[in-house]
Amino acid sequence: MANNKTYGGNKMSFWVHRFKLKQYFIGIMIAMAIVIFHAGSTILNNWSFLDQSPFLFTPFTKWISIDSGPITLLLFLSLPLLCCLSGSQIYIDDVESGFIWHVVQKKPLRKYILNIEMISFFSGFVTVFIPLLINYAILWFFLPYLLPNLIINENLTVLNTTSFFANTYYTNPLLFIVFYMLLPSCFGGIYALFSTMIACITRKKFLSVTASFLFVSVLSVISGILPNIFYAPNLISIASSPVYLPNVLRVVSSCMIIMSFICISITLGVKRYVNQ
Amino acid sequence: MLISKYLARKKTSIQRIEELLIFMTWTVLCLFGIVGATNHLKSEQNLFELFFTAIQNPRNQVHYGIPLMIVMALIMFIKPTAHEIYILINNKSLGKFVWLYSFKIALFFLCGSVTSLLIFYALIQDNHYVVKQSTVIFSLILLLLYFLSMFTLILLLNFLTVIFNKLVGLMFGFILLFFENFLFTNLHATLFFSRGLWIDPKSYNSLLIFNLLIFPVYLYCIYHSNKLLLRIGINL
Repeated sequence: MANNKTYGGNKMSFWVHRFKLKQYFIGIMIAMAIVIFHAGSTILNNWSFLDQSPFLFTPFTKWISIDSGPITLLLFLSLPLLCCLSGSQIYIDDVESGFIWHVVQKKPLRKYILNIEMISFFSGFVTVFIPLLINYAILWFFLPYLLPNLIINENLTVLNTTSFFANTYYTNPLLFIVFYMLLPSCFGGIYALFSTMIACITRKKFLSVTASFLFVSVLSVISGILPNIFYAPNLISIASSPVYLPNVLRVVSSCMIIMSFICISITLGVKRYVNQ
Repeated sequence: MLISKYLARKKTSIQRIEELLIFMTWTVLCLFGIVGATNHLKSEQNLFELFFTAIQNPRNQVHYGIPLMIVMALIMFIKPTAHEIYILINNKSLGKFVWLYSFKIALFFLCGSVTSLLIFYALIQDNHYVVKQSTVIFSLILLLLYFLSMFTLILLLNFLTVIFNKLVGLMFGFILLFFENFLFTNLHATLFFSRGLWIDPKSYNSLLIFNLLIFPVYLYCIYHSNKLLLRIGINL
């Protein structure tokens, strides 16, 4: 009866209960600290200039993804690591504690794998989405809500070569912001899924946490030399990207292929471990 | 048993594959760094100058070089288990174990960097890049600085890994990098990283001797504090 209550009757509360561990929130806390520091320093630095040229100090022009400063680069370069310091560790924790053997007896393996994949993806997604949203919200509270102007904000590098849908920035900036919140969040989910895949294959915790960071950093270096062949997901997901962008369709298709590959690898990895 | 023999026997085949992959990745990274640096230099360049421009470039090191080295070094370091720590402490060789392991990892990264230079030299066909013999000693000093700074950093990370865990080592490495970059941006000088891992082109000659002397001091401090660190950390 007790088992039914825990695993059958109220499945959601079980997973919510598991997420009370502090270790799953390290990534999001660090990301929040970075974005709050960015918002605070931006507001304090620009407070005295607000009356002079308000167009330069709007939430749209000072949002962390558009404001191309060192803090932006710090956040986006460290995202692959931060996304993996989240719920993506849940599988390796299950393996290390032996809890996986208990779970697979109570529920179908396919369901467990699906749960692990969904938790990994959404924890990575949330680790990026919430800090970006909070940064925008703080700036929205303190800076004048003026739409970006094509002439006054021309020096902002929102161009078609460095930003997806750059024209939307001047016509419907909120849509542009939402897109640039969702794009890095989706990449965050993929980083977290990749971490789970490495955990399934190697069953090493530190390697699984750092694998995404390693892979993306190496991609960043290679894409600097061969920009027509490779692209770095962390750099292209910045709204005013420091690199030239690939085609949108290429990005979407490569993400779909990589996600399918990762999901298949996770399934095979978990099945191999459980059936050994 | 000698610690070096013990280290060699301890390794599994997966760990050897990991090491090989890390070596290849590091070599490729350095090679790409060198290729990237060729764009900034004119023809008839000294090959050593090109090499150090690539591997000691502050921007490259802050964005990719040092973070990746920290992560790779921590992946390579195999934390001793509770039983091993017990035996190593009884033999009074836990400190020696960490020093030897760190030296081996630093040497590994140095070999990767030098290999990338050799590969580049083997692959180029034109005569734009030459080896100037007058700069050999200067280059060796720079290479020594590079090695010493890597060794000191890896040693610190490994001590933290033994006392706490790899995640703490990783956090410490990244916070140190962030702090040093902040100092470098505002003061054009740092306590540690700009002494060897990256070098400000303006201070190539003036601070070289000072940089050479500072690393033995750092290592001496770590050597005399490691017993204390381990005693506090592992509750000996």
